[in-house]
Amino acid sequence: MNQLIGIMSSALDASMLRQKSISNNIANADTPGYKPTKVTFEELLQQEVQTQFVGKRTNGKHIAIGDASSIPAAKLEQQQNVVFSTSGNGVDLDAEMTQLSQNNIWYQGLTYGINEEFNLLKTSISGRG
Amino acid sequence: MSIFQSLTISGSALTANRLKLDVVSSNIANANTTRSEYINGEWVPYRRKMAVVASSQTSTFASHLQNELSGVHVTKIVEDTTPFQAVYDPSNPDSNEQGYVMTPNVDVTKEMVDLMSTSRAYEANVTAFNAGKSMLLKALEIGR
Repeated sequence: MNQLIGIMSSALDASMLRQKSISNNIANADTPGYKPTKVTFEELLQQEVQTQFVGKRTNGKHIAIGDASSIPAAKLEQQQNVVFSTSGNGVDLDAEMTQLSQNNIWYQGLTYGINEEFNLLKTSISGRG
Repeated sequence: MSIFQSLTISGSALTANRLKLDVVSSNIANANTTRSEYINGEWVPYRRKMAVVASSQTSTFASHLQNELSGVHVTKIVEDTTPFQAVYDPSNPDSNEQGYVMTPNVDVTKEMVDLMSTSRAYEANVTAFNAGKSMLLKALEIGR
């Protein structure tokens, strides 16, 4: 349960960072020589989830190897394979607007999911007497 | 298949149509450009350009097997090889010995039709995008 809330809050962070990145790209849609940024999170989360190789820890001070319980943080990077205009600007406005919409829906979905988790916790704390 | 695939596909079509619009704008803007390139000591008029669009299908075996849907992208911009139009205008500085000026092979009427169809295609994709978005938002209301 707590793990789920942790993943979703991390995803919310990623969504927030992505919103900033997209806003920045759109704001710089006409800036000469601007290279657009993007946020990677899903790939990192998938890598974390798919990690099969986990080192057994017999002591709390041992270094964790392939710890599946750690939640990755979103990373801001430069976009690859960008088509630059004559001014050296690489922003694809339509793609950015698409991602803006996607991110918006994703954020709404995540808040819905996290609310449901908290409602479950609330029910279990207060009971249904 | 990601839930956002419909939005990604519409977005790729928006990008492709915007580039097509850029190409049409360039053709209309240069409809009378007699000096586009300087080749072998001679000015060559502007050649009409066309955008080649292709489906962004990844040609992997798995994607064919799953009948994966894909967006669209502009693969390249090619030049129209139809001959230039010769116009008799001896006073023009670019006229040859016979008094003819080679003008671009751009047909403005054709370009206007392309402009309209590209603009309509863009609108259609925006509509499809909005429909996909409202479906996803409605899906979030299931069970509420």
